Amino acid sequence: MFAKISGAQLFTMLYISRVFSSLTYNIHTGSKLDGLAILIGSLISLFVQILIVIPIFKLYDRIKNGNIITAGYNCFGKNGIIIAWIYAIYAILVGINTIVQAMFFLDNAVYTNANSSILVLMFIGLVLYGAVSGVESISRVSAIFGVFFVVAFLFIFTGLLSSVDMYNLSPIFDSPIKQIGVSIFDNLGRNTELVAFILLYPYTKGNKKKTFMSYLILSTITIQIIVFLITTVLANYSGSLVFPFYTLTTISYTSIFQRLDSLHMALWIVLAFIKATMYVFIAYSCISISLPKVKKGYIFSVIFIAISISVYWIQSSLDAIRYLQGFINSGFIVLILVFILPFIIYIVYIFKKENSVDKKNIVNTGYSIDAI
Amino acid sequence: MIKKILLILGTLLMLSSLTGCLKTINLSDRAIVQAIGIDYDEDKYKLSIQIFSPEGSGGQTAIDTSKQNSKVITTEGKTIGEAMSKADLKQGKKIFYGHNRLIILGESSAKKGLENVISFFNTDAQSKSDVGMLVVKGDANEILNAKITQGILPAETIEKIVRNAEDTGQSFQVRFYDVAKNYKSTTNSVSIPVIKLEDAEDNSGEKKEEESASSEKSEGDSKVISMDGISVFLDGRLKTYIDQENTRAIQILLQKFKSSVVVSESDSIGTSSVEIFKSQIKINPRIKNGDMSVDIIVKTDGIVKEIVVPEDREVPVFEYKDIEDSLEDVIKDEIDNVLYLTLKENNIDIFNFMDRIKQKYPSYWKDNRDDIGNIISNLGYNVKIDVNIDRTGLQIKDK
Amino acid sequence: MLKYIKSKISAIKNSNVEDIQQEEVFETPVNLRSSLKDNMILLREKFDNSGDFLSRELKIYNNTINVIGIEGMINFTMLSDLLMGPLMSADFSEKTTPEDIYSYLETKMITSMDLTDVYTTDDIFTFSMSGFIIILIDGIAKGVCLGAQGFNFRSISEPSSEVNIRGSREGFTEPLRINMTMVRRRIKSPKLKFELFNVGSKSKTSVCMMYMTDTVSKKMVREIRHKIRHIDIDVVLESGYIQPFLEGKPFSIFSEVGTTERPDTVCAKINEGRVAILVDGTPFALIVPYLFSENFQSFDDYCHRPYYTSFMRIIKYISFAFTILLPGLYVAIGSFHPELFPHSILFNIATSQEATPFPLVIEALLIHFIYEVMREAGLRLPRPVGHAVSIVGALVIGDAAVTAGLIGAPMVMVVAVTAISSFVVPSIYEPVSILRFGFIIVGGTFGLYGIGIAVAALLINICSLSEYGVVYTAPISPFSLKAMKDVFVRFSWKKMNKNVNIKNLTGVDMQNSGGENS
Repeated sequence: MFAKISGAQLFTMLYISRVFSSLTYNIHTGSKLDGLAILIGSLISLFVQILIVIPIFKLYDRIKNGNIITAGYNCFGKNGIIIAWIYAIYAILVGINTIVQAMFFLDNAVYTNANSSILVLMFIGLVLYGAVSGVESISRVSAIFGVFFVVAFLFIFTGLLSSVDMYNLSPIFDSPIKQIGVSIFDNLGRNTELVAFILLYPYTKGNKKKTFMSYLILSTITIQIIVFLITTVLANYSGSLVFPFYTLTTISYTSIFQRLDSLHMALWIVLAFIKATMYVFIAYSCISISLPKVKKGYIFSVIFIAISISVYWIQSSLDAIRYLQGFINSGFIVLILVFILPFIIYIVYIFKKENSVDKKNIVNTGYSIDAI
Repeated sequence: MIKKILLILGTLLMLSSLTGCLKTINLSDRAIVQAIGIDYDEDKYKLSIQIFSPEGSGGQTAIDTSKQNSKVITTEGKTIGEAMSKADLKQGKKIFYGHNRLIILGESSAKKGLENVISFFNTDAQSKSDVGMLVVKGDANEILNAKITQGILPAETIEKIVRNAEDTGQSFQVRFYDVAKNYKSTTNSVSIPVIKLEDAEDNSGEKKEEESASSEKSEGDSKVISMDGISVFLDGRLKTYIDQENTRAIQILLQKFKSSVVVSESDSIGTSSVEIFKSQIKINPRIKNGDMSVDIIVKTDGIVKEIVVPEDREVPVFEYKDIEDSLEDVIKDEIDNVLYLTLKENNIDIFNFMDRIKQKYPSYWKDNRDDIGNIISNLGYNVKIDVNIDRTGLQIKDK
Repeated sequence: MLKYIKSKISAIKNSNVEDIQQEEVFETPVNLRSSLKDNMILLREKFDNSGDFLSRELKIYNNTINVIGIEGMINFTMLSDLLMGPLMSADFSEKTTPEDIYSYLETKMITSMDLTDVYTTDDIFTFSMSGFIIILIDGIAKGVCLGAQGFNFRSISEPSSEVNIRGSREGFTEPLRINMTMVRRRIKSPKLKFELFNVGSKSKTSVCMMYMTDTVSKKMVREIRHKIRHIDIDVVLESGYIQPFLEGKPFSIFSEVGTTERPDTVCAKINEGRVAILVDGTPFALIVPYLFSENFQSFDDYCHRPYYTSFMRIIKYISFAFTILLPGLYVAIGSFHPELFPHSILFNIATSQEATPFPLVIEALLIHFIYEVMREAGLRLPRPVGHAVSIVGALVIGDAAVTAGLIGAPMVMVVAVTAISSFVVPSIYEPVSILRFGFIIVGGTFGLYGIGIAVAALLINICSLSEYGVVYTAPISPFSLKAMKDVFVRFSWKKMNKNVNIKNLTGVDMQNSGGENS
């Protein structure tokens, strides 16, 4: 019923969306951290993330053919709809954030004099077209595209190697422990893909643990490389740039290919598209589990209207963009959604099953999972 | 149903192309900027902008390289941004500086400060970060208006000259992001090469030299550009100039050295010139008795270019040790001279010794980081050079 | 507004009634009678006294027989060998009854291999249209059909659309039986199976579905059979008529049904577990299902050295990218992002743009439109005039437009490269030419952003196709290492997996449903 995509395809989707969020923001926004602190912090947060997902893996080992949302329905009865809608709203917010970030880049770096409303509309239309086609299409596109992205990234990386100056990686002078702690928490917050992994888990066939571990390791390596490059090549200059990676691509020199920023821009639109589509699809799947009788077209129309209005409204004010980004990327929300909520559900699930209170309820949720 | 959706989408698409939500500017309506010269005069920024405007000869796409394919516009404004916006008024095309190659700072604007320049070119989306930067001891206007008839555009020629200078150890290229990076570094010092204008050789073969470009120049004569040392900025303002003779040492210490011909003269071994390439430099800070000093070790390889031995000397064959020693002395003198000029006389650290001290002795740095000037002025230095001649050319040293 | 809706609803209701009424009017089969005269009257009614209806009455002692056929369909020499000779040499006598003649025809006459009985006028009609002669005997309420096809057809010639250096030079011809023979000759395996259908309510065209029973997936065969049986069309004149009925639901730019004109290609594809469909009257066979990467494979690849083939494959992929993206990218970068051009190219383009009156988008659209017009004209013109078209085309577009100052010289270069690249991959010419125009318009309106969006939309469109359980973008995604040996590079025959089967390239989701798959 659920299983539709392979582990490798899921891995590419998660990897692309994680790398996208690090390509667009400035690593120094929010809290001013040293480059070395971010590097060490992201390495340690790798282990923290492994610890956080333990309850969810245990929960999924018990449920054979379901979602965390169906588990929520099992445990809490009709009140499980709240859990479904929490995840759905979070996914929509991440999608909106992605679109807003994409449009922000376009408005500031590329089309500075343009009216952006039609660009936004085109992008949202494309994202909805992708989401309507289903998770298989998105996963195939991301698998094809992942290869291009890795090749391009290696290109940019080798072009920058000659400009790396190791002395820019200075030791941390001011309160190193606090900086590393903040960086760990920050990194956790930016890893919204953990939530995506939880909700896409039942759609995947194959060894999910292997997928998850390879995603974590490879994305951490990529983030480390990006932060390393930004810190060593640009040093303190990066603090004054809104899009440091974009500047990096202008500096990168290989003998024949000089304008690598065009490569960056072209790839980057497709990256944003894949990430936004994935999250919109996740939102749709959460909503359709909670409201199985509603048709696919209606749900997507409502999502379309909600996203368009929000994007227009948020895009017009820089404060709103900042607040949304701060809200989405805060470590607390990821902690709640990935660790605390599944933990509670897991405990209640075990408790209910051990007590065998309502055996009928556990076996058959009564809600159609095959809504997709 | 599908037809209706397609109809609506098609209408929207057509509408979008009509109303021009994204402004399409034809290439023929763009003025392609190649070099920007910035001067500062009477509280106003004066910009000289060199634009590509072809004076083709006949064929449609033929660009005649013997003609001056450029035009210079001058504008002024309180800030650089204001001056830029006025440039559209001076001619009919829209200014487009995405292809800009050079920013030339006149002495006046260099003394005023780099802050405005960096801020404008950093914030603007059109300008790219790898623009070359140069300083001129005079007005940037003169350089851009000079009649340089080599290549398609003067700006292109200037850029190539600087690149050649980098290859032969007479200067080095500085790009915008280098300046912006160093401007915010710990030592806050920036070094930018200086160019000057000279008259080209006239037909009689005599070469007229001029010291600075602001003195009398003959209208209509073609000019050439030459390198004239390095300018050093501290805290964003021009501090001092360093002569052209010391440029090679600076290039070695900045690790941008490619190759250069060093001449050594002495009575014992005559005159020899050796091309030095492949330099590896190690800079190690060291604390000795509470004093910070820097050990600089340079290792290079050499190719012999020519050796002229005096008539009455017996010299062994394939023995280049004495030449190597002599060369090492030459280079050590140059480097010592530069270090003295920058560290002791002008109290600037353009070689980023501070970053190395920060990495190796973080506690020392933490104690003293409020008074960097003090560290710099008290910094000792030990220079050791090692030249190894491994390619002798086709002639061996022989009596 | 309300009246409009009401009229629409009533129109729909009325059309339903008419359809039902039409369905009820079908012909009941009319059986043959014993009397020859009655049969002939029925047949003349059936054939409506058509001009090519032949009928010859013969008398064998006291019995009358009638030989019926369609002029032009029958080979008269064969007729004399098949029928007249044996009848002459048979020992009939005065005591011969109609039943004797009938049994002689059925059992003793071994000169004809293709012999059946007919009982209704419908069958007589169908058989005579296929080149059979029918023998009616006075006193017997059935007839005997003999195969004596002698209609003229084009002989086997080199396929015009797929030119190869090394493969065989035989291509399919129009009659179905000959095409079936060509395939049968190449695969002498008992597992090769042919299934015949009649498609088209008026044309009753023979359609043959062929597959290998040991490699094909039975579920797929069932689906295809179901689709062919339910094709609702009146005439089928070419395989392209039934192609849309075999395609899947989501509207897609690329087609999942491939065509080929070569019997050796068909044999190779059937061997991999696909189904080939031959249509009578056309040399183009359909292959179902078809993968995207197969557009870049040609039969020659398997005869040449692997390193050369790999090189050619990579060139094909690059040409595909060029032919779709190059004009769009050129227009987008020239109009919106001129900083992405290298310096020297930019100067040349800017100088050429100085003199031309149109913006880049209009130039690109104009010149590509002219190119398409020329290509179509070159196809449709009679052969002697074809040379003139190429000369005119080269002169008009190449030289004159540039010197007249209408179009810039770089644009001519772009269109030349685009056009040549499109001929490297001819099987997807149709989607490519439309996509090219789409990219030019999108690139000229929105720049690189538009091109990025269009590429993403195209990718989604390609990746969402999965008909008959096989994903269109396999084996690139979902990834299958075994099958990748023939996609971007070709491994040598010794290393290639000899049993690559299309069943193994099903999507992960499809493996759950359908128990007979791999």
